[in-house]
Amino acid sequence: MRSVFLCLALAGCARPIGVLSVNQLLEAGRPREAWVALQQELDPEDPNPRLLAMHQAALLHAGGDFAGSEAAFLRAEAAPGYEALPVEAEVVARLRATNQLALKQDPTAFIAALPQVALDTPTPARGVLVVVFERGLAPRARISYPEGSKARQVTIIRDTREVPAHLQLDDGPMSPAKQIDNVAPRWEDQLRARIEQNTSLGQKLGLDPFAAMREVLSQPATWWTAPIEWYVDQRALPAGRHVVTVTTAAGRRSRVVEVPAGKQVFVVVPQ
Amino acid sequence: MRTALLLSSLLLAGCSGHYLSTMRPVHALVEEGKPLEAYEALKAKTDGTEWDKLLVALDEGAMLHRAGRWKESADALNQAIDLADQRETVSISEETFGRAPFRMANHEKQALHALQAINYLMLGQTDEAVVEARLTDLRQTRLEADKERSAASETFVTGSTVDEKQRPFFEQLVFGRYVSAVARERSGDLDGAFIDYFRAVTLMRGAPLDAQIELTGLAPHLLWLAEARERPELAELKAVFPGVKAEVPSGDGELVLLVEQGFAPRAVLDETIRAYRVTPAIRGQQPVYAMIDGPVVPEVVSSLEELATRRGYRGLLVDRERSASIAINTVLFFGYFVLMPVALPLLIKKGYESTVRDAQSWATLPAEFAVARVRLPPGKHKVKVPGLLGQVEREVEIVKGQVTVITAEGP
Repeated sequence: MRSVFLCLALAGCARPIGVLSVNQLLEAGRPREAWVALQQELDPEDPNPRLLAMHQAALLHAGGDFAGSEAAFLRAEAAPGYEALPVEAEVVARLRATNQLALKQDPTAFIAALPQVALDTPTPARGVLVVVFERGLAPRARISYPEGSKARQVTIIRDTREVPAHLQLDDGPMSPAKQIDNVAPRWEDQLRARIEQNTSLGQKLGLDPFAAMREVLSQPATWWTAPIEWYVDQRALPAGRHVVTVTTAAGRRSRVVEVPAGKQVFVVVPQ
Repeated sequence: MRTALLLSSLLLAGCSGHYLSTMRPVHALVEEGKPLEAYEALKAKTDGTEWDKLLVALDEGAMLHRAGRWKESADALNQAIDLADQRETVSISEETFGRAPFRMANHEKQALHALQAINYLMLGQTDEAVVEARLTDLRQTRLEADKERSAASETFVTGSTVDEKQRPFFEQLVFGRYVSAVARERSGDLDGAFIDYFRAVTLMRGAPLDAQIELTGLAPHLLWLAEARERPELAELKAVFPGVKAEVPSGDGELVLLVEQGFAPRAVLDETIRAYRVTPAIRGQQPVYAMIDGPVVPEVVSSLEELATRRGYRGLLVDRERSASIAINTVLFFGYFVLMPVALPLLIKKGYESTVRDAQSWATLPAEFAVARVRLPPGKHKVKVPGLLGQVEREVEIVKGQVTVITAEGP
């Protein structure tokens, strides 16, 4: 009987069964599908092709398609539109270096991505496994005009999910990796400053109702699909094949990694 | 009103209990790696009682399967297959009096045949395993042919349908095809094996981009099969697996490790939204890998967890409800209103029964099916395979040019 009610209640539900929203896909650790869904949601006449390419680059990177991500970053570089915040430009450079690291296993790419981390030195009999974890989503801003007030309110929307950055090596216990950088506070400050800078005095005083309407309808464009936190875990290991198990929003997955003697091997684990 | 309440309490006294809640301690034993103790506890709780015979048979079959008692597991699962098929017939009297039974989802039925095929493979009854392979084929072919009917039923039950591009992925279990292929390969039917493996690859390609499943470990073997049997699909396969080389025939045999990981998700009442939510079962933290001439990580080829969490509660309704049943209930619903308050107790009972029924599931079914393939020289080998509580040592005998199948559990 409950099904009858459910049937009636769900009759207007347009989304097909098994098809998730962009946010649901991101929460479930499905970034490449999120990119496809995001494309469908966006206006084809979007005036911001650069931001669109940046979203694509971040989501393909998160999905482990490092070559695709690099191609999208190149498109973003050439496209007109969105002007990146200083922190966003910094993250673009880091993600591109990480793409190179994953594709070419080149230690100089690691240094370019995370210069604050000193790489452990391998020995002739041992290699070093370096795991780079990325976590979180960049902040978004929402502008509203609370009821009964002409004053504008800027709300920063943070990613509050708790996704672990854990590494298990062979049968070894799970260890949390060390956090290297969290750009979220800087990002939020710069985002807020940009919104303030682009606001006319009339808007600030609540005297320009059309500007308010325009703002609420469009909302500030941000590169919210980029990661904000970086973690690194380094282990010196006997040369040979090892099982690396990492936990992401998509779940726990293991893979066999060949650690060569006298070399570093890099594993990039996007969110 | 007083009469109605009295009648309600009498009718509710005859209602079904919540199987999953009552059997929680029994299922906990399976999760602790004690399937035989769980089986005994289940028998003690259910023998001579009115508990749902299908749910009991499914649990018995899965527990015996996990315990390696293949013959008894096959008997229990055969009983479950018969019951599941009988229940597809919607009875007006059962619907009227709130006695509609628990029904299985398509992918659960295919998992049932896959487990049954494994039982027969482990018993050395390859012909029986091939029969199960044919049943998987039959179910999947029928689903393919009945796409429009499935879509109509989904619309009737939930108001929307599965995305047509993703329908094969949601309805047809890749692992079912994989086990069918292994069974056919063991029986010497290499063309049949190729067709099933190829179908598994086709289903995999239809999966959503980030589905946590893969078949790369099969690629060298499948390319070799395509070359050896001069299959016209070879060029297509080479495009699917660029850069992968066909395995080179040698004097080796092949070990196929089938790993059943975790436990199927279930519908859990979410108090915040006052509705059921499909929730994955909590899983152990240890990594799942085998030591066969070095570490080997089995690839997940089918994830019931992924299917269930993607489809959510609407998917579960499609699995458990049938459009004929909804149609009958819609008519009855208005009939009950006309006959109020006499029909009130029946309405309460039906509401309770359907709520409880939709929350039941095959809890001992694995969450994921994974496969590893390793070529080994003929002879006896000591290998370590995953277990629910850590790796387990096994001895396997590899025969030249043959496929040897072993099973394992993972957290």
